[in-house]
Amino acid sequence: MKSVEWVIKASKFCNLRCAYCYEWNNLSNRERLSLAQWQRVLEAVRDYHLGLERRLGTPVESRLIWHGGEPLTLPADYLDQVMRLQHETLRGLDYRILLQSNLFSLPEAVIELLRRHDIGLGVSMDVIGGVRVDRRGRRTESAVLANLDRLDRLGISYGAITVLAKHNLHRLRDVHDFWLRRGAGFRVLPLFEGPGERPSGSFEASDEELVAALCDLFDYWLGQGAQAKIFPLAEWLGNVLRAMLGQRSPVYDRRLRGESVLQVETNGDLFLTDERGHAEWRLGNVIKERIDRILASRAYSDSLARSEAKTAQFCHGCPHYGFCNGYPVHAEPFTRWPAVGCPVTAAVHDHIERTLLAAGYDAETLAGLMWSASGAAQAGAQRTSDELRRASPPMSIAAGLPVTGGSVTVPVNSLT
Amino acid sequence: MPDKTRNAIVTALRRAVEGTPLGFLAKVAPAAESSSEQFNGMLENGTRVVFRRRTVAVQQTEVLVTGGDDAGRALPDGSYRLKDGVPFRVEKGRIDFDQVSKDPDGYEPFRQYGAWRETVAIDNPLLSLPDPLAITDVVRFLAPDGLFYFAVQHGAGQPYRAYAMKERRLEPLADGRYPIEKNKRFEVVDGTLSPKSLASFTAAAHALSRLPE
Repeated sequence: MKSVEWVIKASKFCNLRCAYCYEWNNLSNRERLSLAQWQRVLEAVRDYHLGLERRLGTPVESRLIWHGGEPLTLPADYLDQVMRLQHETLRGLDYRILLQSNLFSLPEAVIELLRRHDIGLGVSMDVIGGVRVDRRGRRTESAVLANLDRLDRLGISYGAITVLAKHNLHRLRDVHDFWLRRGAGFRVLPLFEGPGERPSGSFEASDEELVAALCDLFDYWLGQGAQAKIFPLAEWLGNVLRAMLGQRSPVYDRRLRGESVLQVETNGDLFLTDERGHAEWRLGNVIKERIDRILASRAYSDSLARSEAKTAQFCHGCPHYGFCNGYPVHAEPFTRWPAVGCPVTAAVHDHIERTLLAAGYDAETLAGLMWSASGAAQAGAQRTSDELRRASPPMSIAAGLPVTGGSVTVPVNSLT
Repeated sequence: MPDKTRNAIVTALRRAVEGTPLGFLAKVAPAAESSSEQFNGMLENGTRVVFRRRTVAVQQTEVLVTGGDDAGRALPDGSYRLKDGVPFRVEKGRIDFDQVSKDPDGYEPFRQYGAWRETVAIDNPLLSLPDPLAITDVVRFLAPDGLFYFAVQHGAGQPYRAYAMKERRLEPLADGRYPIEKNKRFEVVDGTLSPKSLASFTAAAHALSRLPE
């Protein structure tokens, strides 16, 4: 199903001072979207949702992602009122409400809200300390850990985001084990560019360091049976597998398939996520303008051209394009670009492919494993590893194997 | 790599192809370690052949001549064209899918099969139906009028809908009677194969695809 994510900056105010935060200069600003402004934002979400469904002829899911700043520093009654407004305005549509929190503070009233409004919770935590500190520079990990324990005791599930930077570059295996033990999937997010005022210098990692860390994490993760849900490694592994099987998939194309992620600033300004912070690339203002006017504007048309130029520059010619959907180059405002390809994603894709091939997983072996996969699915039960090995012996799967024995079984759905 | 890594790759594979044509092809997985299907065709020079797909861990498609002195023998290596114009090449006794993938006149779905070079002899017309993943059974044969007729069942116990293949796509048959062999016909009512026609339709498909003794 096509999904559209609206990253909404309800307020930039935050109770932490993470050294790498790209909102560093706004973290003391208590300005927030008023209810009336929320109403306009939600009308934009609703109208875009309905318009896109009409245009694509397929169902759409809208995802409202509360972002900040720290949304849980907002008063509980404010959160409750906006949540109600969301349900009223989006009634009848397929939508989800998500909230990204540092979980430094978790009032009881908020826990009740999370449950009552079916809010999906994302927790930002790097596991390795030193960067995510409070306003007095004190570490926050123990407080967050205590709140994670509270969530676990209450049976409230959550996902996690771990920012990848110098402080945890060589500790990603520990990060993996931490989230796996807690049963939470996590996203590894390389450090964004941000304002020069933030004290992030000592935490910034080079592209080469990021690639090395992600490749090591991939090797470790796969060696552990890929039990943890890791974004984007799971997606990138899928991309490489499809490429080896020759199965292309749709690519990121805003003009054809509509938006994937939009960001709404506290003043209503609308941006693509990779263009945030650049006033000249503002798409419009959803509080002051209707979304259909924004979509028809010169600013929007120019942004489509910029996206297409970016895809042409960095994806066309990349061997992974068409299997990778090309979104990684549009995901974040990286400033350091090699001549061709994205700096991190393509290199990790290369590594995944090399790893699979070195282990004997060439195209034909993967084809053999497909039988195992579908066979297990059809049987409705997991096959044992011995059965899988018999069905697809490693390195021995090649065209030209004779039919064994005299009996030939025809499956129910075979073609006569 | 250890078993848990292999299982992880199997799981990732299944997710990676979900909703793609490869996901559909996985549905024709063998119930055991070997399986076969076959169907008849005619080359542009009039030679009648049977395509036979065999499956062990991978699939391979052979082409066997069904008439004349060469009956039962594999079509010699070389380039061929079906009567309806679809090109293919036999190499070492099997359909050469590398050649098919590279053929600029080939059909786009071939390119999607990639590693499944041995999967299908010609691009699968079932993929032209709205919900191929729901297909539970298919019977097909090349009739004397030169058309491939398909009976397709969506869901166990459901009636078989009738189609003819045109330009590698399946088009629903209008209600009426259609040829099987000489004096035999099958009947389509409300777009589905009439119950009494199903047996003769299936028998014809088996007979026409029978390899020489």
